Amino acid sequence: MLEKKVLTRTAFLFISIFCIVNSGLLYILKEKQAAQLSAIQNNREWEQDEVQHNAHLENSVSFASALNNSRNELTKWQNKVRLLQLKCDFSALLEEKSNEDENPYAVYEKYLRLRQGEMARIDGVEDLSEWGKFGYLNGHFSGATVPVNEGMMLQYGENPENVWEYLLPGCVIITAPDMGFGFMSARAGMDFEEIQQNAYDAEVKKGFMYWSEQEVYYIEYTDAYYCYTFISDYPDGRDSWLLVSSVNLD
Amino acid sequence: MNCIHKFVKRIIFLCDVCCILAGAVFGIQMIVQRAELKAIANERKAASEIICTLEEENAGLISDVEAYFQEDKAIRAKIHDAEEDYAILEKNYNMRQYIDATAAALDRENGSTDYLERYFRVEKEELQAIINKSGIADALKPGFTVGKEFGSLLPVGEQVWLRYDNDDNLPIGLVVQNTALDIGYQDLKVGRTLDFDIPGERKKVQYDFGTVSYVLFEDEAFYYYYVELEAFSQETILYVTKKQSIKF
Repeated sequence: MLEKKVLTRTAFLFISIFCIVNSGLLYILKEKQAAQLSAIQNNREWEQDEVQHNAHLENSVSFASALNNSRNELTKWQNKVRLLQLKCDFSALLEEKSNEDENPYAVYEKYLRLRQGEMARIDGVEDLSEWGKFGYLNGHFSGATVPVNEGMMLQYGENPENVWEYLLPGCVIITAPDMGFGFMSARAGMDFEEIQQNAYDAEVKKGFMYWSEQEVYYIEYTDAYYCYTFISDYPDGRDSWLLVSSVNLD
Repeated sequence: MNCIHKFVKRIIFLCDVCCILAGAVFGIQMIVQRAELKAIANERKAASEIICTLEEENAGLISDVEAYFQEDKAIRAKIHDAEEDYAILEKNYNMRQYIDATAAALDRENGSTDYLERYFRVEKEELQAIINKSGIADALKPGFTVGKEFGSLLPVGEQVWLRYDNDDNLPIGLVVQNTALDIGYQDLKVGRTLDFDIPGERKKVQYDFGTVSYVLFEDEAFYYYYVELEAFSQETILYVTKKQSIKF
């Protein structure tokens, strides 16, 4: 009877211990699972990946369209440049034809009538420091110059810094030998002997530019409209350049 | 003693009941959570498959996008260069236009015809060479129609054309539609209408391409025809020809 009682009580004790341990284990497992679930729910990177991916897709589509627009814009600009280049070529050709005129007035006067103000506006300059400078013959100063053709520039006198609206060029300076500008058949780039052969004999004079020590040599010719001065750094006149100025300005 | 023993027994029994109930609750919760986990696992598996597929596609797209970027960069650089070229050319063109306008004003001032004469010194070959080099001369084609019997019209500026006979290298006429150009008989500008602005006798000529009305003026060197093309517009187009050239 006593044994039966002990067995019963021991069995109840084990059942009790089992219940407690089991509930404890179940609790631990449940908590682990809950933590796992919570971590998964919080970490939804795959959703972000998908969103980013879609964004890539949308961007690539819009980028292709933007690229197409860029290509069209480039074509438009290239055509504009080609058309303007063509117009420039036409203008240069007509100017060249105009300069074939035997009358020097028709050739040079149009350049000597180009107002400084308009030239500065075209060139987009507000003060003359952006232009070049070239010394005056037998003078210590220099005048602002603006190129009008390759090897041809206009020299303005007066104020060397500020733009004067109605100021006209003091002279046309020609440095390129193959432009066809000159006096009779004499051209810039020729030496004094060649110049005299292509025009006529004239005295080679000694002068200076900027300061007295910087000697230059020159020959002057004059016609009804202009004074043509071939200037060189050398006594024999090699590498000469030509100044064309109005006779009444000298 | 018996009373204490009974009390302990009841406590243990109560504790057992609590543990069994708690275990049951925990068990139910675990079953629910496991179901959720399974659902998420399935969802993730499906998403991973989608991501894998999309990543493969995206890898191709990324390289495409990089190529687009490079090409766009190159195009932008070319556009920038073209804009710079255009700005330089524009200055040059504006300067040429200013020189041209000054030459025209001088011509009028001196009563000379040098400004017009130069057009008649432009050889067909040299003009054609410039046009061919550009490859864009179609943009300067006349907006009006002229018949084949009129010969060939080659552009020599904006809305300015030279008329060449098939056999001759020098132009036989100049066609001007550009109202900004200072070309014309005395002060009669291009673009004016025959009946209101241009005095003189209106004459008509029938061509294959339509009826042409004109008023003729002349000075020592040129004939000036102010032409109204019936099918085109009431605004006149100026046709200038040298006196020794063939007539209109």
